[in-house]
Amino acid sequence: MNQSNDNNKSTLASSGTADSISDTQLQKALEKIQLLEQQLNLKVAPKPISKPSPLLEPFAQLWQFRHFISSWVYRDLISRAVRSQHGLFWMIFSPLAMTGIYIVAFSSIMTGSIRGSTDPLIFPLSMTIAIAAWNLFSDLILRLMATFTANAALIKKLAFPRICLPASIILSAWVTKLITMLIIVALFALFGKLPSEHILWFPLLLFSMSSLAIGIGMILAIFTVFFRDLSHAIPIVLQSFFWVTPIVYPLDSLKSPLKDIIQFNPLVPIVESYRDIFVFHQNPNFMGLLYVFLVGLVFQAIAFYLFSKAQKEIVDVL
Amino acid sequence: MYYEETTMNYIEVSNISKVYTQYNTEWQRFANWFGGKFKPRTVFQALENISFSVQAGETISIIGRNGAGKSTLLKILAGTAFPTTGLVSIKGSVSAILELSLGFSPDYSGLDNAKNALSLRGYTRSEIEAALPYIQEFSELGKYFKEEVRTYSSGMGARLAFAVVTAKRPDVLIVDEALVVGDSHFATKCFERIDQFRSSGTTLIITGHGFMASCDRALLLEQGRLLADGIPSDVQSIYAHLVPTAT
Repeated sequence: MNQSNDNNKSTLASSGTADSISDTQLQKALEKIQLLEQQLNLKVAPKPISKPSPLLEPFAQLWQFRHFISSWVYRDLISRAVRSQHGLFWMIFSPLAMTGIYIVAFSSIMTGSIRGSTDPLIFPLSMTIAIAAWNLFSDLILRLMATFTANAALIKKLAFPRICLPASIILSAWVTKLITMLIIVALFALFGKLPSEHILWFPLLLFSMSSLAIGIGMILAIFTVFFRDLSHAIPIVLQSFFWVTPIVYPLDSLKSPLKDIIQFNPLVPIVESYRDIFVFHQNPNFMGLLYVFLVGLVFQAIAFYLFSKAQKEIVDVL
Repeated sequence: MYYEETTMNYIEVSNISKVYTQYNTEWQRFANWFGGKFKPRTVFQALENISFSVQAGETISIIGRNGAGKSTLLKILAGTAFPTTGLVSIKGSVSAILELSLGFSPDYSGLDNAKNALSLRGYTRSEIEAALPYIQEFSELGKYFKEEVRTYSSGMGARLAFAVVTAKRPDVLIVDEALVVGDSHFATKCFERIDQFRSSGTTLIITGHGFMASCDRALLLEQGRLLADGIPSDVQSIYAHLVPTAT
């Protein structure tokens, strides 16, 4: 405080020639200094950001920048809804129509049976919910992958904790998917499959799946900055993962060696759990979900470590 | 890095270097993060062992020829780029205007972009609301404030960016002088605003010669090195030797 006051005095003194200052000038200068001192007292001190432990720091930053994150999510939703003429209509109608198409297709064109059920409705509904689960997963990965490349302008021009970007992306993906999930549940009810209380496990499924998607997505985001080709390659890889996950076919339709191998795919417990809670009205596979969550944490740790190494160069390369 | 507490000085730059590297393949860059010893294909040393400190309330001009490293130094001070080695610590809030826009997204209105940029600087909602009238008024966008940024001229974008950055008095203001452009009317307004901040204690770091007359110190960069750090007139005369035609 004192130091900055002294400084102001010295700049003022140096603005006129020091020896030839008139009384009125001096008076004026003193007044100005008084005014300055008032301003300095009024001035809000720079926010003292007490350094939290390194592990908690990202959370402190997220809290500090919560307004950015919430307004990003809001604008993301609005822009999806408002850009087209009947945006809100499409936001509801397109998942509604897609779900409807899946249900019809899997009950008339591609029929089958799953887990030995005889109810003709079970097969189409369990295929539909698995597709919805997959869409959330791949949507999260593809959006997170573009974290740095799509926001290059912001990253290059403003200094802010980078963690705000993935946080906003994840939240906005969650919000859009929640809307989709509500629509699916409503449509299921319309087809005669009322939800049971098992649906309350959905947040658990969401967290466990998101953990995996965040881990993989952030690793890819860092790599994509340096290898732009990845943005073309990853959708293809994801597409092949779609087919090695029992989404449009039941897990029990697989024969032995293949079935054992596919169990290692961390998406299997996720997809099966979606079927459990939405269609079969039973508890999800808790151990499987925990496994996915932990695998996700490992990937996140790798991503964090990579980012600490890459951080300096990301902005140079963008 | 941006908010680290320091002892006496507002800004403490200790021994920073910035090296831009290109590798034959990006895999070599990756390998180097984990202890690899690959030689880059090209190395550009933008800054080399720069050290200086700035007291609260000082005004510093950074001068130098094109490519001397002025912009890189400003980016590092602003926190958008990171030094390869060395440390920067700045006490207090930092505002920087380095490029023509603040990463505005063309599909959103000037208003939304302003809100967005302010929230990215950690403003709370009420602080944002309080700043908006000033931004609209200062940027002189009028009814265009609510139009999408893609309809703006570059001058309008720059005006909006300047208004956003100067919405609240920062402790440290970093300005690339080339930015305060547009019509002379607006340039005058920008300099008035900067002066206003200065007289209430903001530390100002600016490139170029525009502020040489009223600044406390000048830094002269040449080929990434700090050639001189001292009274503006002295530094100016050293600069004149570098560029014989300039004077």
